[in-house]
Amino acid sequence: MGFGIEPIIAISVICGLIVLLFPLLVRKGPNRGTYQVALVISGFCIGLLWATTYMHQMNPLFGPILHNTTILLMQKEWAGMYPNGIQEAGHEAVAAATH
Amino acid sequence: MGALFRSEEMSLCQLFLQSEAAYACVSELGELGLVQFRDLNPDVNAFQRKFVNEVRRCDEMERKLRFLEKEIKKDDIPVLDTGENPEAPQPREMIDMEMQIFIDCTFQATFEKLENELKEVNNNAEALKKNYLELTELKHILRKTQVFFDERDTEESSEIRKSLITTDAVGGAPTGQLGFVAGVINRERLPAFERMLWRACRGNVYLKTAEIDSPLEEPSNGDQVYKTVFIIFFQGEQLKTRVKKICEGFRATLYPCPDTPSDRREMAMGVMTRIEDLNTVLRQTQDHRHRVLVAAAKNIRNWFIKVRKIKAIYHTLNLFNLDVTQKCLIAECWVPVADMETIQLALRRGTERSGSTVSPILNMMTTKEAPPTYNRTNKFTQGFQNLIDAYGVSTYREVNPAPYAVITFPFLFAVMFGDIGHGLIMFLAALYMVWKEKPLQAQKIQNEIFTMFFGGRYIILLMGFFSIYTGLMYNDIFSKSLNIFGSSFTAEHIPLNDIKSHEVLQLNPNSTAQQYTNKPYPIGIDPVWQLSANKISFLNSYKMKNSIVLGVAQMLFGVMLSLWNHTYFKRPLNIYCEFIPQILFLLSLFGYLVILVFFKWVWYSADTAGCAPSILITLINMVLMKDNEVPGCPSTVYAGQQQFQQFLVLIAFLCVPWMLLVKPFVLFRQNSARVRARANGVNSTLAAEEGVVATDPHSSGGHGEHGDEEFEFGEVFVHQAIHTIEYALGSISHTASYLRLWALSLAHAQLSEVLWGMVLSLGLQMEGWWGGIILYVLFAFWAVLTVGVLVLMEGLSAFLHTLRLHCLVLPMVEFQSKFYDGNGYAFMPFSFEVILEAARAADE
Repeated sequence: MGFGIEPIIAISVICGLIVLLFPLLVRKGPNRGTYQVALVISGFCIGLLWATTYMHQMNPLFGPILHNTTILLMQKEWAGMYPNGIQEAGHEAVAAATH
Repeated sequence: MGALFRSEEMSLCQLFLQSEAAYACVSELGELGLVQFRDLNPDVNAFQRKFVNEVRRCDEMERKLRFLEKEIKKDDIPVLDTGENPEAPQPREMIDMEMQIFIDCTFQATFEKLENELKEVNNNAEALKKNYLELTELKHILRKTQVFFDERDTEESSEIRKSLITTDAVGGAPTGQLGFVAGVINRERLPAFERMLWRACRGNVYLKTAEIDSPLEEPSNGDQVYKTVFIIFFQGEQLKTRVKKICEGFRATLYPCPDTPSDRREMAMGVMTRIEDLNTVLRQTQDHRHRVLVAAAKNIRNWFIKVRKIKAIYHTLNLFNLDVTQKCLIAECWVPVADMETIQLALRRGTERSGSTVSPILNMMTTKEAPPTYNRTNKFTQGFQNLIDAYGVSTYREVNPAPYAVITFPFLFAVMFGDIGHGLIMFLAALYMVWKEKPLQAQKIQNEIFTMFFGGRYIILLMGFFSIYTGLMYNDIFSKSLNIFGSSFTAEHIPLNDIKSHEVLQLNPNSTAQQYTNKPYPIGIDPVWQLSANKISFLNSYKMKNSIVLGVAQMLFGVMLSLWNHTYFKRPLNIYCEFIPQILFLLSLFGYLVILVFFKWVWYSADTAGCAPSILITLINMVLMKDNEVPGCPSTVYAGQQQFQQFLVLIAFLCVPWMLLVKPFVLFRQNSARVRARANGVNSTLAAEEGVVATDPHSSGGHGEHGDEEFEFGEVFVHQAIHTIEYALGSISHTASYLRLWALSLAHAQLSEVLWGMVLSLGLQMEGWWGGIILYVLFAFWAVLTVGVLVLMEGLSAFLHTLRLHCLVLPMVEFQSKFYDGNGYAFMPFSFEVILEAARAADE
């Protein structure tokens, strides 16, 4: 189980602002309560959806099934391999992947 | 307490109005729009009410105005709409002669005069036009026949004569003189006319035609028609009558035509001068008519508003009671307690304007009747309140779901509609409508679809906003992903040989494979899944769990709101016998389900993936009290799981009889105690006062009150049984129902992916210069389908499903059925604004 502390802090701060601080800034008026409730609920919804999304990925039970051309491209684009072009990997699928 | 959480506190008031001030006061209240009058003479027929004459006069005026408006429209004169809102004309004294004179003189007289004038002008114009037409036709006949006659007098005529005479010569001696008839006929009738003539007269007539080049106007309907002048030569009286009959049958107009050229010339001159005269007269009449209508067009909007206001006032006055002295009118009305002050002020203003000295009296009354439900909304909350009212107007002072729906509705919509691109389109469209709110409102567009979208602009704005957010979470923009933070999966360590030998490879997130960074993608779904072949099985499990978590959270929230209702209405019995078992039932089954979901997320990693239990199977086994057997794995997820689950199921099952039985029996016992107490009380008073009680008004009143709440055990029990079954079965089916969040969002994502793959990606793969052109065309196609199908149609479907989750007129709604009664009736104040708007809508 692994998780990064930065996104948790960031989202907590954002949701905390929406839920705790923003309701105090709502202009006074007959609908103040409505807007405050709306802010609290939206902060809760935003936080909850992020949390389920994040937790669902904390312990992936299985990994993605990828096409080999996709893997080559991932290696080139995301990992910086094959600096002289993907042709050096030397595979017939490469021609398709270069597009 | 905030404005929208519960409906406004209402109170029934009695209003005493001095009869001379009544008109002005009601007019002021109509401008205010905060008072709902009750009909105090429901038995009185509409024709027997007090102000029926005035109402009828207003109707008459309105009819005249409509006639005027029609005439104005016929002439394409622009109607001046200043948008101003004139007050109802203020008569100095009500029901007095002055009022009558006022209306008659200023309004009626003006209208009547105008109306008569117009009618006269119209009639005149028609007669003149008919005259004009005849003369023009005659003019044409004279001109054209001149040619024929010229021909006849030359050598050709002898040929005509010869042919006619030779064929007819057998019948009698040639007279040497040919008769003729001249006239005008519609051009399209000419061929048939010619054929008919030929057949009927056996070819013994000679027809000459000449077309009139310019179209002539038909006076009856104003159409432009082309006509032809004809002249028929024949011989003998018999043929003449026959020809005339045929002409009649074909609606040809015959004109007398003098024989000699000089006569004809003279007649033509005469006709010309008469036509000139008529033209002048016609032009002047038209001008006059136009001037009259232009003058009317300037004022007609204001007149409409004034007349409608007067009518509305008299309609309202008809609801009032007249007191015995005939000096004052009595009204009963529902009034928001918070607005008492404003209403008093308006009444005072009305009194001052009417010049009356006695101020009206507004008295609060106590009543057992349920007051109307009035939710004070603004332009932002209006749309949401309308959505809620679609389910049923809330019971008086009940918790109003609208303030919560402000967010939950757009959010649940967005869960089904999650896509940054589509959300952005929706958001920007709504933003435009909000931005240009005032100009768009002023345009008064009557298009039904536009008004629907415009009315829901704030809902759409929030739906768009949350769709962008959920799109960010699903990492989905037009079915592509954003890689902002860098994927957590890496393919760095896969050897080239493996890549070459396998067409597909699965990355392994376990701790040894070094293909997973062990930190999830920070915000949203990892972009690598968008590229993968098993994306759907990953997203399915994510979205399914998501919808269960959201659904249970919303249902719990709904049950919590019911607690607020119970404490507000002071129904402690409902808390102990309904709220507590309800929430226990929900928590012990579905709350546990949510906990299991989170537990599975945290507890099982890729290394132990094989032993991760299916949550659904676990839940089913829990209720069936069976073991969860997976070979090679521990049978429980945590120690004591079996016992804990059995305990939860036991609680859930205990909650059912608790909900079903406790409340009816408690009520039954309370009732029998009350009956006994009353019997004792009556006995004691009887003993004390010895028979006087029978005529005592107090005790009889007390009896009447108790008569209202007659207790029937059977009814209460059946009601409770229905309620319990509905809740217990409902919780299960509603949880399943929330799975539509998953289904719809999956369908949306798939559809947008298909659209990308089948349309736009084809264009992107084209090579050569023509590739650009094809891409251009395909992009247009893709964009149209994206907006039309994915944003509009899919949006509508997601909207309806969200509405279903929140509120529909079914007993099995997910959120609101947890706390919402919806047995109220809406507050419909007497308001000029509403009345005028309705009248305008009816006009168009």
